[in-house]
Amino acid sequence: MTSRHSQKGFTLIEVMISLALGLIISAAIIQIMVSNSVTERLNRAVASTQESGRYIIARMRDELLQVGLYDRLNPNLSDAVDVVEEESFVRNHPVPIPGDFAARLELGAAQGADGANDILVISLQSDRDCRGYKLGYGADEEFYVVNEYFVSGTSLKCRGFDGRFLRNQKVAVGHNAHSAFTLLDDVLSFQVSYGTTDTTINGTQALPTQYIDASGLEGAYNAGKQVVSIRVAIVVKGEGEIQLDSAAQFKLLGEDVITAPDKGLYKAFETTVTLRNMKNFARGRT
Amino acid sequence: MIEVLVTLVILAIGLLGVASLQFVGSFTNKEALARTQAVMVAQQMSERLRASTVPSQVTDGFVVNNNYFNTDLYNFDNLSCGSGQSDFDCFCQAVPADITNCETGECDASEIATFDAYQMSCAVVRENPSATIEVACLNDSDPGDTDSCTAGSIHSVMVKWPMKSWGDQHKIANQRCNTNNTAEYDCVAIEIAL
Repeated sequence: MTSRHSQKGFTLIEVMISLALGLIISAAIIQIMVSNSVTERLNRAVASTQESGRYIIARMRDELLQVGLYDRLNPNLSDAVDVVEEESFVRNHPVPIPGDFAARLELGAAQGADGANDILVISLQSDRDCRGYKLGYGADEEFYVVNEYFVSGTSLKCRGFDGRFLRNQKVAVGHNAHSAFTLLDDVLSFQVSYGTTDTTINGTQALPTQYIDASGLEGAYNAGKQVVSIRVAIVVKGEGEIQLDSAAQFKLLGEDVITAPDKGLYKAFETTVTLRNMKNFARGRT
Repeated sequence: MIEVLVTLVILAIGLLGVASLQFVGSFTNKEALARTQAVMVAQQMSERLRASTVPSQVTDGFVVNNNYFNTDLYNFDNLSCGSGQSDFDCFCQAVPADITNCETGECDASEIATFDAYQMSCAVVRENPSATIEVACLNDSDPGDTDSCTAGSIHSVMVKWPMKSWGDQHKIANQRCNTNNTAEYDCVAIEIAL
């Protein structure tokens, strides 16, 4: 047996109004979701530029602070070669230029033409190269490290060499085919300039009197000048597809103004590092 | 019927909250980036001071050139812009004629100080057009001598910018950045002894 009860439903008007209100609510929610995803993308891009910039500036600063370090009294220093001669070489080539190393004549700091990326090469005494390799030395042993930073494609890369191999004093071992490791991706521009001393100008004891690019380094060295500070500027791109109103423009160090290739989010980061070792060395010499 | 209307009101309030959340989130993110840049500029200024140290001629220890403490040289106070462009577009796209360019020629100690002040002023307005940079000597240990900041005194670098508050989320202003300002400022400060 089935029993029937009288049922009272919504009227047509009520259903229509409810549907309309429901539509309004769904439309609002969809709007919020769309704008949420746009904002989220922008936020992620801003956060990623910040992350990349902070990381690379901190890392470059850490490694550049040690440039020109050579402590031949350090008991951990490997003394397989003449350390007095090597100390003199490191002190006088804190930033090696092409032609300094017999084994790799091309290796050296270089200025990219017309706004192209620069190559930075530094000398120091350390227990590892910038990739973390020991290059055949013992666990605590320190040696003459030459680190090279360059941009390949859009990646900032680094590789380290044993300075003794570069100077043909030793056979290179444990170098993983001199392969370069990527430090940072999405790099638009990497520029370096060098603060050099000039002892002929009155009142300038070991303070930088001019910031030059790598093309002027050879002339500066030949004129008895010394590199006492390094400036690094880098432009990184935020991740994700962002469309800003216009393409960003950057003026890095002494370079001409560059314009980003697209309307993505690009940010420039810059730092100056005083080379303590070189400043003390240059001060002692004047 | 009334239930639907109530639902609508409650949902609307919620959605407005979500919308403002995004807005505030994005704004705070941007502010964090500006602060990161300010920290880097302050750090770089302190590093430039360190690069420029020379042994003092009047006391033991190291000093920097007096021009570093000349407030006229910072924030483009010594330069004038003909057009109504922003400071960055006006002064920073190329080195102004009044500033000796230490990238193309040799500079002496005072010119390096002026150039550093100019470049750092550009660096602060690049990310935040209303930011300013100050270099000062705190408690100069001998105000009478010829060094603006006698060896051993504290060198202070401060980057500051007008504080922005959203809605009634008022932030407490830092006393250090608000000694003689009309508006409330936020700042990053570094103190170093050379």
